[in-house]
Amino acid sequence: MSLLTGPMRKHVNGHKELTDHVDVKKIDAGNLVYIPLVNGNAVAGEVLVNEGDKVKVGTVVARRKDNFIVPLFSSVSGTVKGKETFMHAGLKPVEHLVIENDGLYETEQAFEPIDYTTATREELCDYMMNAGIVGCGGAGFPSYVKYKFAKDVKLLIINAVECEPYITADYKYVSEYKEDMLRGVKAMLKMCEAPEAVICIKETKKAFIEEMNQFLKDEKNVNVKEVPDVYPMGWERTLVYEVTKKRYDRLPGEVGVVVNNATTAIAFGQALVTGRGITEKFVTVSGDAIKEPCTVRVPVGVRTCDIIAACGGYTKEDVLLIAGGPMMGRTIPNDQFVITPYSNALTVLENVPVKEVACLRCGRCSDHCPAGLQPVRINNAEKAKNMELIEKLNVMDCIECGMCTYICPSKIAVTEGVRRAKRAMALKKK
Amino acid sequence: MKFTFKPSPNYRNEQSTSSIMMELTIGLLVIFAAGCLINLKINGTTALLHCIFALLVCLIATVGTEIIWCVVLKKDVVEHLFSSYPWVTGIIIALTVRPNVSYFALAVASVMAIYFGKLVFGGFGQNIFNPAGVGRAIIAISFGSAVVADVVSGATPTSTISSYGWLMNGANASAFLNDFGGLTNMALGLYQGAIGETCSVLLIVVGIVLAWRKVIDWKVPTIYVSTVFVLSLLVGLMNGQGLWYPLFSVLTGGVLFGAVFMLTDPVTNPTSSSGRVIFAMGAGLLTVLIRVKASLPEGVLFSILLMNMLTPAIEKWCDGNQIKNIKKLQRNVVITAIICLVVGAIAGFSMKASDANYVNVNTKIIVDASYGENALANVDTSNVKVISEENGTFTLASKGFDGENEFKITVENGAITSFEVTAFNDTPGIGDAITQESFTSKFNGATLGSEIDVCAGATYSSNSALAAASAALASGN
Repeated sequence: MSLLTGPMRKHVNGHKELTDHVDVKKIDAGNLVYIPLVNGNAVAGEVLVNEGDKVKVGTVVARRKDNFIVPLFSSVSGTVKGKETFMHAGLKPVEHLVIENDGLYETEQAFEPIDYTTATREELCDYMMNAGIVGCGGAGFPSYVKYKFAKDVKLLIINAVECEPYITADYKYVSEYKEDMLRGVKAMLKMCEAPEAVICIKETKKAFIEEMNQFLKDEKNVNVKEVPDVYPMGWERTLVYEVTKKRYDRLPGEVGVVVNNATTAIAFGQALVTGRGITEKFVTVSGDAIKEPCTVRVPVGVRTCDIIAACGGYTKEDVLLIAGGPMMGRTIPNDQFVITPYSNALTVLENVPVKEVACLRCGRCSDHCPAGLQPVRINNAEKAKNMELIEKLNVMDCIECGMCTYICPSKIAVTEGVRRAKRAMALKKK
Repeated sequence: MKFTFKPSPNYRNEQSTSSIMMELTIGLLVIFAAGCLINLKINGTTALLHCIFALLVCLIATVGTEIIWCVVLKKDVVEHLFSSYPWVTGIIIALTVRPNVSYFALAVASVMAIYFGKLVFGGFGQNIFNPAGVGRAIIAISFGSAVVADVVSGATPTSTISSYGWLMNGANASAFLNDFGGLTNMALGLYQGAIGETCSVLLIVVGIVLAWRKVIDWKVPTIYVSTVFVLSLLVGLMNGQGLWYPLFSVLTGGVLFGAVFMLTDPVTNPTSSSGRVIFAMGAGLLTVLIRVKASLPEGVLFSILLMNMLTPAIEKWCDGNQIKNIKKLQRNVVITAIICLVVGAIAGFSMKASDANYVNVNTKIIVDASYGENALANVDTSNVKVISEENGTFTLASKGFDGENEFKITVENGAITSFEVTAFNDTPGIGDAITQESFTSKFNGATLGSEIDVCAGATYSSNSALAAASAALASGN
């Protein structure tokens, strides 16, 4: 009921025109690639190759093995040179496996391809796990977990919304690999035993919707669903609410829905045929401080500086280099970090100082918070160190989507205040 | 090459606090321009000049106060002014007064509004009360009679209907409406009132534009005006009034101005959507309640200040995750709505239509040159009501110092033959000199041309007697 909660979303200027009609640029790996030995926040502890070993495109080089199993793959063929620790797109120092590229791009099947039409649900789940398919929306959550425990699913939602400003990689990728996506979606439908799948696309992308409708016209249970061009339409909760008008407490499974990114569906669709995991990514390089904004096709493990150079370099002296879009992506204070299996964008913005003024209590942050929180109240409670109030304000429901800072007319870093409150809360719980 | 680190998000909406305040200023100035034109049309050039000077006085006083404050505290004046926006308060104060308010009153109110209404709380964003509301309240309470003569003529619709207890029987009601040109005139703003509060049509248009530009939250004015409408309709229906009653209630007395420019002040609003809904409903209830049950002619201003006071409580009432607590929020709103309806119904039930015959108070007093300047014929009778008339004996109610005094006056052949004070409601020991034989006997044989001296020390009460005598003589002719 938006009268009592506010709209909880907002159209933001996406600047997608910068890269929308620019052809995808292919970038080859340089002499060395660096496979980050990490998945999300977890370290991929088990390294399966030694220094001097020969690897090919698709060779499993390491594996995350805590609660979830996620293998990591080599993106080039060549020789393992050892390990090196430097800053990762997650803004933390991480061990990277260094592979010397022989430039031949010889491939290897890490596992036998499988026919999804005949395979059982369990076989497909295991296959997805072994293929290292992770959510490509940015978090890199292992996808198989969603399907393994799926029950009474009525709808599979394929998220092709791409609500972060500047990014067009998903749209380009889906457009290029429609068959792979459809295969992935059909296999996913089988895995979650849902009768129907919808592919969510922003209603403003008219040509793309037309293209997809044309492509899907013979499919009975896979359809396109137009969703409003607002941020954060691509967030799971907002998207599930838009499509089903239902809210859930912890996981979308509670309302009979599984959500996966379109890129994830493509990666899975490809893995079913090739027997390889994610070794290559479509990454949008855009922003107001990059010379030639475009979407690039690049192997995992390539350093950002090489990609930026291929896009003509920086146009400003002082820049914010963001791994991801400008809303949720982290600014990284150097350009040495590498592309991960779940990267989708590099945003380069001019560093413009922001002048903060006093809060006028307009409540826009509360009205637009997609999680239904009251960022202004949380900020004030955090300043007063009122932990009781912070808890009452459900601060832990915050996903740090950045809407509150974006919308604030006083240009206050509201999200940062909420983060402080979250950290204080986490410390208190310990 | 420099890579700067900044926490996400690194993307900002274009709208800023200063752009919001600038658009608000433009909206206010549009209303001011319309107010000037209306006053020029209905009150003449003097009133127009008074409007312009009133605005200038308020602007100089508000901005000047902040400049002095900056100088004293050694702050950067320009930077402070453009993050504090004192002129908005100044313009609002000027727009909420009638053009005849003395410049002195405006200056004092503006200084107090900025200093005690805003700066002492910690400046912009920290104040509890709407600063312009504080200033306007100071004028209403302390400078009620600080007016300049001959600038405007006649009473306002709300002060008139308020002297009849906000309720009139059928014939009176239509006479009253006709006096002010009907509801159409009220929508167009062609009647006596505060500079910026009369032109309802323009206020609605500006309000819609500001809401569309996201300068104000559409919910607050919409719900406030709807609440005033619904409760007035309820009160009216319970007392046999038609649709004119709620329409009149919404169109006059600053409801629309308060709704668009004062109630929406974000600083003094709750920050949550549900909180603002409750806030607006509460203000609507208080406006109607103050109008029909309190002795003030107008309820908008004080309803806003009272609700400002409740803002922290409402805020607390609506805390928490707005999605998870949606049931609680819905319950809060329903409770508020029920309170509004029940209290409104009780107020409506306890009202009684005034039996007093409606007297045209809007007629301009023309000094009749055939009589002396101080003759009874030239006494202002705008606060006199004729209660009854029988064979030349009038019963009249006439406003004195703080109450209405009642008189029984018999007129024969244009002269008073009997003068009696039947009810005295002013200050005992001061005003009651007018009940003395020594005063009342002066009226025996008085005509429209007679000049009667007031009792020393009891000017207001004396004037009520003079006005009653004048009205009786005028009607008796």
